Amino acid sequence: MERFLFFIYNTFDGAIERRESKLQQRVPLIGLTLIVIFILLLTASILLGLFFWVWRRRELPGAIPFLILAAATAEWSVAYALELALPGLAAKTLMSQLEYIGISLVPAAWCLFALTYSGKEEWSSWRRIGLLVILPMITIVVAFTNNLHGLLWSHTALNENGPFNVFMPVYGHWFWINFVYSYGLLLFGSVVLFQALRNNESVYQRQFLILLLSPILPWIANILWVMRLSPIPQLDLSPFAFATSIFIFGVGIYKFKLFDLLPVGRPAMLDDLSVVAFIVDNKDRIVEINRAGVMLSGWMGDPIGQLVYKVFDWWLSIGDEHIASIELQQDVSLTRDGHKRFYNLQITPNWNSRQRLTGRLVLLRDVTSDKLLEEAIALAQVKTEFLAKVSHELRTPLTSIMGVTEMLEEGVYGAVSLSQKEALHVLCESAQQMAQLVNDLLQQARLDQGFFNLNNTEFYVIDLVDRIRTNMRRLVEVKGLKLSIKIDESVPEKLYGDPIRLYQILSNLVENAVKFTDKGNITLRIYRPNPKEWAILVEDTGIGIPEDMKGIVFNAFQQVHRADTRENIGFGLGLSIVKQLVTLMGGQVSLESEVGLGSKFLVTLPFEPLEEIRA
Amino acid sequence: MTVPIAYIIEDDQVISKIFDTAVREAHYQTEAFFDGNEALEKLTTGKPDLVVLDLHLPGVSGLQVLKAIRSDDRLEGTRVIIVSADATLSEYLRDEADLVLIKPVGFFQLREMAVRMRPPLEPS
Repeated sequence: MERFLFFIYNTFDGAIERRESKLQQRVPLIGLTLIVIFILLLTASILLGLFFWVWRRRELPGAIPFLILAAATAEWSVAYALELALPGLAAKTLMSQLEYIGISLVPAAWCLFALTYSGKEEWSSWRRIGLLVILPMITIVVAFTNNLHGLLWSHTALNENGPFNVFMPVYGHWFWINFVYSYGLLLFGSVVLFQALRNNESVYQRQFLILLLSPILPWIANILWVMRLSPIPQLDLSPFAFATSIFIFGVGIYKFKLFDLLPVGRPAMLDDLSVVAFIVDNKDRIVEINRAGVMLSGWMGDPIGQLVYKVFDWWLSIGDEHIASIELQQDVSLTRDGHKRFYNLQITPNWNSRQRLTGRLVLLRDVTSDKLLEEAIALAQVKTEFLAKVSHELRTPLTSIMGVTEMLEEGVYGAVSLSQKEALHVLCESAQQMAQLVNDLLQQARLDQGFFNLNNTEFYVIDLVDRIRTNMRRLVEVKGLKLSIKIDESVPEKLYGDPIRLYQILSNLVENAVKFTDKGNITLRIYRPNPKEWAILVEDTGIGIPEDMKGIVFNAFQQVHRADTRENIGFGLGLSIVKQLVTLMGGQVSLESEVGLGSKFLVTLPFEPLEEIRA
Repeated sequence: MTVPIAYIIEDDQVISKIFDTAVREAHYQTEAFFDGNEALEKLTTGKPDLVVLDLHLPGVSGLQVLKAIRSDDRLEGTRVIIVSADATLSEYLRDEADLVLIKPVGFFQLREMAVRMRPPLEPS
């Protein structure tokens, strides 16, 4: 390493001596010096203005390193102006030492700015910043203690031969250490910034151009200075270049809101989205893609830079006219791992100022669950409509069957014998059962669909009970059973609820009781178990429900099988409908039963006092 | 004592016959109509005590017939029993009609309802 540094040292020293000999005849130009000093001070004041402007926005990404960068460059410019202005070696040496505060801090600040601005947030921790500035701090100390060791400048002298009267030292070892470190940081920072900017090429073109120019300028100036190729000999253009670069950033910040639009912060944010997002340039290459996009593509490796239709085979199926230039939003279905999934595809083209397509932003939102839900709803709708249609169509012929049979039984068409009467009876009963099935199916379909409303109103309890008594009488008498109905005195004359649905609950419970009872009584009782509720109790002396069946009697399409008669009537929807309706009404239904003794179905419903409802 | 009059408005011939018989057995004098227009025309002059009304009819629907009856002051005392296979539509009409029966409606059921709907006997 030391040999390498020594080599550079000698090479540059040689170069310096060669150029110095050519410039020996020149005399200092006071006017030019003054202009340069003026420019340096102007630069410093612009930088300070920028400093205070950014200070108010210091919470934005990259702002703190930017502030350090601006301050360090301003300090460097002022010290450099003073170096040019003040006469004598001692004063110029002191100013050069002061310059080193800026010189050594600028590369570190530049590097930090590049890192934080590129979204590498971890670099904004104070520990990392501390690590970066250790060497610059040492350099500053070395500069101010140079008299003791000569590590920075092994020899100091004035160069009064050129247009400027400047401090012209011979560089010591530490100068080269700092030189390598500084250039390393500058290079690293520039690479980081370029990388970050390249990824956003198609979207942030103007910003890119501005940011592209900025890091190049200090590089050019520095190379010119170190190689002694500066257009104005003996004038270090580096502070100007840094100032210009920082000024360009300032314009970028002010005019294009660079700090508001962190170029790399956006894709990082996109990564957290569940939506698939990617950007395709005008040559169909993927220039940016979020994590969800990579997952969807299943592409091995980095999809960035790949042709979009290689990564997403469905791309070509969308149709050129859509992909070409217009804003598009449509639903597409893709098969992933053998499963069909639905996506809402949105393609937003991006044009530059000359109306040339620069790229397209593609968003894919997985709408599979929405789509499936939609389909399920549509299917349920079709099912309900179908059942409504079927039940409607069945009702008309059933009316004929029932009517004609009953008329026959009644002797309207002439006298019938006792055995004929019995046969007609069976027909009647079957038609009744069929009618009930049709009702149950329609009801279940409506409940399944979920848009079922209760029409709550005031109603007379006695009306409800009378309808049951009238409509169930035949059913009960046919089996030789007795139906007794009791309404407790605690139950008011009028209740609040949906009388149609309550009738359905009552009739389903009574029919169920009749179905499973061969002899004895069926009791219907309406009472108030407590002030907040009213209850319907339907009790029978039937076959009862075995313990293991109690859990399923309220399930749709399930019922207790009658082993004794092999009779298996209905779809098992009656009790399921009761349960669903009661639940809808905010009540509960429970069951007590013992095989061979009978069953008790208890429905409890919230009691709503009419005075409160009216009020 | 006058015999109460009933109109049976039902397009199905067999069902019309059943309803007609049931209502006659409930001691009404009946007249059958097989489409809505026919019934509406007759309702402009006739004054039935009871109308047994199907909703889905050729021509003018049962719903319009019901509206016509309810908007005619002359037919204030007319009672309407809707007998329809359309459970959904029928439920909406519970307040408009005196009674709503969803098909299948049996002979006995209609006869009993017709008896209940008979006008009270006028004191002679």
